[in-house]
Amino acid sequence: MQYTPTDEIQIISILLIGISLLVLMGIAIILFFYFSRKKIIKTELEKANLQIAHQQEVLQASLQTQEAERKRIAQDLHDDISSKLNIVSLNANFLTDQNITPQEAIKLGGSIAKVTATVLESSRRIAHELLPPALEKFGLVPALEELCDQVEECGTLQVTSRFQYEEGIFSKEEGLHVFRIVQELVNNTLKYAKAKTISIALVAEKNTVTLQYKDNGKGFALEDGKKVKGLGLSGIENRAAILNATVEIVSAPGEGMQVVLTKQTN
Amino acid sequence: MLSFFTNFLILVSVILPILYFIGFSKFGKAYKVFTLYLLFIAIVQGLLFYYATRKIDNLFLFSYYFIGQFLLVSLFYFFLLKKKWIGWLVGAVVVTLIVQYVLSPESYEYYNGLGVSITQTVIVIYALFYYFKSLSGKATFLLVNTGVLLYFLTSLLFFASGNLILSLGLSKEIQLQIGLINEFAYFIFLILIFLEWYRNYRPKKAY
Repeated sequence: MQYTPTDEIQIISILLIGISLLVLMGIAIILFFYFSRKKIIKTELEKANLQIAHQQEVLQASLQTQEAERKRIAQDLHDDISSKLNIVSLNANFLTDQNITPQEAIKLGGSIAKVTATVLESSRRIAHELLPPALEKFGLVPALEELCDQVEECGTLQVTSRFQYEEGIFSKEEGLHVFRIVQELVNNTLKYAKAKTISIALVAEKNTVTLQYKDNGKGFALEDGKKVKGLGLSGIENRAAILNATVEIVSAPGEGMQVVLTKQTN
Repeated sequence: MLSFFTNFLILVSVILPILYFIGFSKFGKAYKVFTLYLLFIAIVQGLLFYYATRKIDNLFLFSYYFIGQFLLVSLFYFFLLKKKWIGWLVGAVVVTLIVQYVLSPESYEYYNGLGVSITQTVIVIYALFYYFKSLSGKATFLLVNTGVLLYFLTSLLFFASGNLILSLGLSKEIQLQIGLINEFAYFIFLILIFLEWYRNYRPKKAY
């Protein structure tokens, strides 16, 4: 087959156009992927930044709780122990005085014994509040039962509880977190809810452990509850995060509060 | 005589595998295969140069060139993509080529436009898949991948129409000019390979 020069030029120009089109296509594909990659990396960076901000918030909240707790302990120590030990020390000084009569000595001794007993009781209570011995000695369920008893002893609340849990499912540390969550919830109910009944259930099933807490108090709007630091909801959520558990808080004004914490176990 | 630009490209093709050999044992399997690919290209370029200076027909080298290139680049992308279908695809292409050479043994001595088109298309597909994979996280060899996509896509039409260009009986000058387009695309490919090495794999001073 013989080609004329015009055919040649046409074939070559078609070839050149084809090659340039392929070049353009290649560049378009490369640019498309380049910009998509950039965008994806940007969104991922934003996500990471958000996560960091959230972590900082959590850290700050936990520092605040820690400070508040220290303040409370200092107050307790000062009010219930130091002041009373002052009285003991004063009375003991009187006793060393040689001019006092035996009657006075008996009276001072009696006073010292009485004050010492209250100091002992106070220190026991403070220590108990910091870390309930039942939790350490007997485990989560006895500690929770003790907590329920204490709440009922106050007289204003009726507590129903259901524990279907074997010790050892939660580690010691995890058990402490669960206990603290319940403690916090009970505190909230006592402080704010004006509730009549509380029900606590800790149920372990095949692969899940569920903690359910319910009161019939005045409840709150969730958005407001999260803003109020005193409610300690963020603390509960943080502990749930440490436990690697999901927590669901349901509440509305006038409708009490319900918290369900679920953890998957192996 | 080969043009100055062609000689320059051959020189660069020989230098690149030497650079990549510096970190041969450090950067994993894909890097090793890529270094071998560069070495393979350098050897082919060297032979082309040798035959061209002796004025011996070098067209038979072309079959070795594109098949070897296809196998090594496939292995390279196999380590990057970690997908089994690459093995199947390579097998299918190789079987196709064998069938082609059995049916028409003369295509071994001539220029095999169909074979080179198939292998280049498959390589472009690898590059696209790798780009897609790179969207979801860290990816190495992105510059090389860009070069592969650009060069193999551009030269696809050039190689596919090779027989046409040869049969046209064009003047030497026009043939060289068309070849120059391909060489320029190849030059960009080599530059991207060099940049990849310079940015990610060059020996860094330890402080």
